Amino acid sequence: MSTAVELARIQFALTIGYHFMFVPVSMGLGLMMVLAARRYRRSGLDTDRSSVDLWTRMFAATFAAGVATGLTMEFAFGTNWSAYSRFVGNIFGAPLAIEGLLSFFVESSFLGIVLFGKDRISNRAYYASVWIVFLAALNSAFWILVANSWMHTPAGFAVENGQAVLTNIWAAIFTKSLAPRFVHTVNATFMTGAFITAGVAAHYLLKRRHLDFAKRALVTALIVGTITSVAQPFIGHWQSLEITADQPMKMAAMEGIYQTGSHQPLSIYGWVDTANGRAVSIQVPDGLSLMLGLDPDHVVKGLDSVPPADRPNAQVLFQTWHLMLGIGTLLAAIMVIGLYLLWRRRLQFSLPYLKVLRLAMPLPVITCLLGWATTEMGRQPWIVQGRLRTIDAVSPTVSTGEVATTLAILVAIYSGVFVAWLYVVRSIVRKGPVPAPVGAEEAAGPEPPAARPEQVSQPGPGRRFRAGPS
Amino acid sequence: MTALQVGWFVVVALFVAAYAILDGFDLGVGILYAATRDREHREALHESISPFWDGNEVWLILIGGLVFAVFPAVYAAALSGLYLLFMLVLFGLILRSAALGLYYFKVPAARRWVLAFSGGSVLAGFFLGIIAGDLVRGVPLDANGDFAGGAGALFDPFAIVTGLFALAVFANQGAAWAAAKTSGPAHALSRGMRRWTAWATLGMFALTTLLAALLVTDHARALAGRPLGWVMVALVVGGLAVELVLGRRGRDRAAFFGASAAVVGLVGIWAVGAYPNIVPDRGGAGRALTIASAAAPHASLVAMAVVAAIGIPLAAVCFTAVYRTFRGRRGTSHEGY
Repeated sequence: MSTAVELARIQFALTIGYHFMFVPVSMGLGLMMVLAARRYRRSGLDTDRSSVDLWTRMFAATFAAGVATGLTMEFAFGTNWSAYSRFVGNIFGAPLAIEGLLSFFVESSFLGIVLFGKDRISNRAYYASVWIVFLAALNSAFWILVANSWMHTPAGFAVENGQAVLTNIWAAIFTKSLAPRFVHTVNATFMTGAFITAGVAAHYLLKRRHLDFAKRALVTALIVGTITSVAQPFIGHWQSLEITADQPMKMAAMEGIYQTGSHQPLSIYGWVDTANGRAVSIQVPDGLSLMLGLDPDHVVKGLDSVPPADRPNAQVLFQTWHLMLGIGTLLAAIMVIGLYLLWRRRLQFSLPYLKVLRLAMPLPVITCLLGWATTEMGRQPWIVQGRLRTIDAVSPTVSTGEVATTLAILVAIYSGVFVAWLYVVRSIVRKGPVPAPVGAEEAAGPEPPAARPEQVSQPGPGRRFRAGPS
Repeated sequence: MTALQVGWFVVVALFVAAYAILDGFDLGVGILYAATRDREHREALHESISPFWDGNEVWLILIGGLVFAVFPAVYAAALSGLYLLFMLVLFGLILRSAALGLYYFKVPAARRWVLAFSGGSVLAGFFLGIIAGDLVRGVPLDANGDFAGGAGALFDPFAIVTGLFALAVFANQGAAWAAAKTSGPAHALSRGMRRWTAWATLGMFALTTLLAALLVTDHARALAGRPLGWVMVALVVGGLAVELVLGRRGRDRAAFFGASAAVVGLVGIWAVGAYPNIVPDRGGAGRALTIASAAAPHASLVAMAVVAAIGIPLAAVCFTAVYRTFRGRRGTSHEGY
């Protein structure tokens, strides 16, 4: 591939990659925020209120970083992939526009209310707003995955005059890969949320701070984390079956299988000997045939069934896929052990385990990135599977120099955003689940605003949560 | 050209106007932020936009998505053709959103990010203006509908002037907003800003009009020949007059609506003069991207119309919720949202 295409691909991958670090964290924290709000709504205790505030702050910081890094994505198809945009715009652009119309407005508006409006709205409205933000984030994930899935399993269109023309909108939305992809991705974000929560709670337990909060948060995290991390391989298996049916070359590259045939092994760890067309690995004999067809005689397609120019990069795919599986298995084990320790009531005394939890925080994010890399690189050399090659999708008018320059600036800015995010999240965790929230409220004076008395929040029924020192 | 295609052109123009009004005021606050040294005033400026700016920015994202879906040829040609300009806008917007985020979390280092907030706003505002100027004037297009010309073609004098014009318009939106949302000394300072930014906007409007009459003759002629064009011009001048006159009498909300009407007029001037083109061809080969040639196929336009019929009322509900929750002025400098 030419340098221009390579650079455009690197720029796109970096843009999405940075963005996709924040997405699972924010969605996972969104779940924790909702669960905490639910508990608070039932108990009405100030301590519960503090934990809602903590997760909301962390969610907001991550969401903000996600928005900052996501901004370029809406335009990246036009700036760097104009040939692609012209070919599929009327189909692929639609879910992006729908995401904006049906989700971004809701998300940003109600997040503003949650962060700044605590004293201007009733508790019921506050509680509803937290839920709305979370559901809008899920809705947003749905539409962006609709767009993404269409690139993998395009449907509902016909090509006329070099343009993909929509023929059936439902077929274009609900493509074959959407359901497994959506469930797998969302489950991964919840898993991420559980690990971040568990890590923060373990940190407090190790530092002997905020013990009540930490114990409760850890229990929630272990339950959510065990359910999601144990379910994830099964959901992933569902997606594997879909990939094998719809994108067989992706599966072949993931396992480094070159020759079509039965009795295909499942690799555990190793590498692909690309020169000789085979995987050198520790493997389960007949494993892949059994996994995909429940039968050792099940035939799995190999890379040799298409010309070399139509194959994805087997070496990279093999590594990202097996690393994802390995780390994912480790994560499930961590959660199950935690649940066992909880059951034996030894959890908070097991310092090594708490240290593991704290160290494990970045792992689910890395796993998400590995999964994303596997599925997207497995689509190569196509940008729209079987329909349009990546090399034909790039903007013809944008020079290599321009892409190189903007790429360098983007890396600098995004790294700045990442460091700033780490810094903010660390300061939030340091402050902890304390009743005095950051933001404007911290500076709130005791006197009510003089100018507009109607803005003063009215004490009354339903304000129970808000009572107490602030 | 079908009615549906024209309808989508109108909707996109309305979205551009909504963006320019709403994100205009928070970009403007960012631009003015550097122009005041008063700490209380800076604080007040910040807090006047805190709950709003993120939602306002969504309009830009949405314009991106909508144009992608309904006018894919424009999305492809404009974004790749004006590549560096759009990238600079995005860099500016990312910088300022990072700065606003750090400010919200009261991070000690946030002071160093003042430059990022103000600089990002200026960068985004200026290059949005240049993009607007280039799209009004048109760009050289090749047979494929792609931009054909060097980066130099994007920085002609007319575009530089529209870039400065955009800074004035956004600053004016920001000052009018701040004057309506602050009280006390910050209010007095914001009112002063509003007066000079309104005059600056009026002056830049006159200069841009003059240049357009000389340089962008196709657009100017089309505009002058259409009654709706004159309505839009009247909206700009009338809106600014309302802002100046009623602002003087202390009617800050009315002044903000006056400024916003002027923004609608400016976007209207672009849309009425450009019709039926979206991106005129400056090469003179008649390869302009028109509403008809750039529009997505009928089925997609219908599908998007259904989505818009659900989404636009939903957006209206959200915005009403936010702007109602945070209505009124910030009481004193110690009482924020």
